[in-house]
Amino acid sequence: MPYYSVAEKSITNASNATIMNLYSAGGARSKVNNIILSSGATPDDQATIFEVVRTTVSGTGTAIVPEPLDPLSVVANAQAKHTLTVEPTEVSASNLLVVSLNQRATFSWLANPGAELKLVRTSDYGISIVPRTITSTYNIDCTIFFEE
Amino acid sequence: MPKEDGVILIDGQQVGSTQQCCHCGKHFMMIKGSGRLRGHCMKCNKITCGEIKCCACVPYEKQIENIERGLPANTV
Repeated sequence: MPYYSVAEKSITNASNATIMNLYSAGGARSKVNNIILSSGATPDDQATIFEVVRTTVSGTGTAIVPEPLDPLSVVANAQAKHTLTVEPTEVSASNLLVVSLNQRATFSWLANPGAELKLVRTSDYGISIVPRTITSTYNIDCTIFFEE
Repeated sequence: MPKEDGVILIDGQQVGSTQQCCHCGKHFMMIKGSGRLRGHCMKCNKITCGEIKCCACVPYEKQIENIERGLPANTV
């Protein structure tokens, strides 16, 4: 069960604009066990509601290659994108995690073994981290750890 | 309170824990007095998120497999 990380810094955090989309390439089933959100922007009191939702079509954006935590691990099946210009297609009422955050807070969510967020193995299906409402746009850093 | 399925850290300090719905897989915080109604599946013997779609017992793993087969997630 190799572990992988996808991370990107200074992503523009705007309402309903997906921060990061992790999706399957049709092989192994990925399991997300850690999500970290933080901001390196000038400290300010901005509030955001983030949702982790299921998606069925990955959007158009900048690709990130998942980095294996063990360099000897095989290449990850899942792929990721950030700074999307075309939003992924979301599955309605599929919230997997909802969190309200102040920009100053560094947020980390960890799943216990067996309680991870599982990705559907079907190609292009995945999950997205989406800010739903936000008081003002700011840059955010996002890291997702997953295993396959 | 059932065993936690996840933890939430703010600035490195644990500020809460989450439970996972045994049907849809959603993680949520249990907050006393919040007024949110949650459920319990007698077949899975685990907590559910309380959404109507999660009243019928279709375990999380089964829902994932249903989607992979092109079926509606809640197909029994």
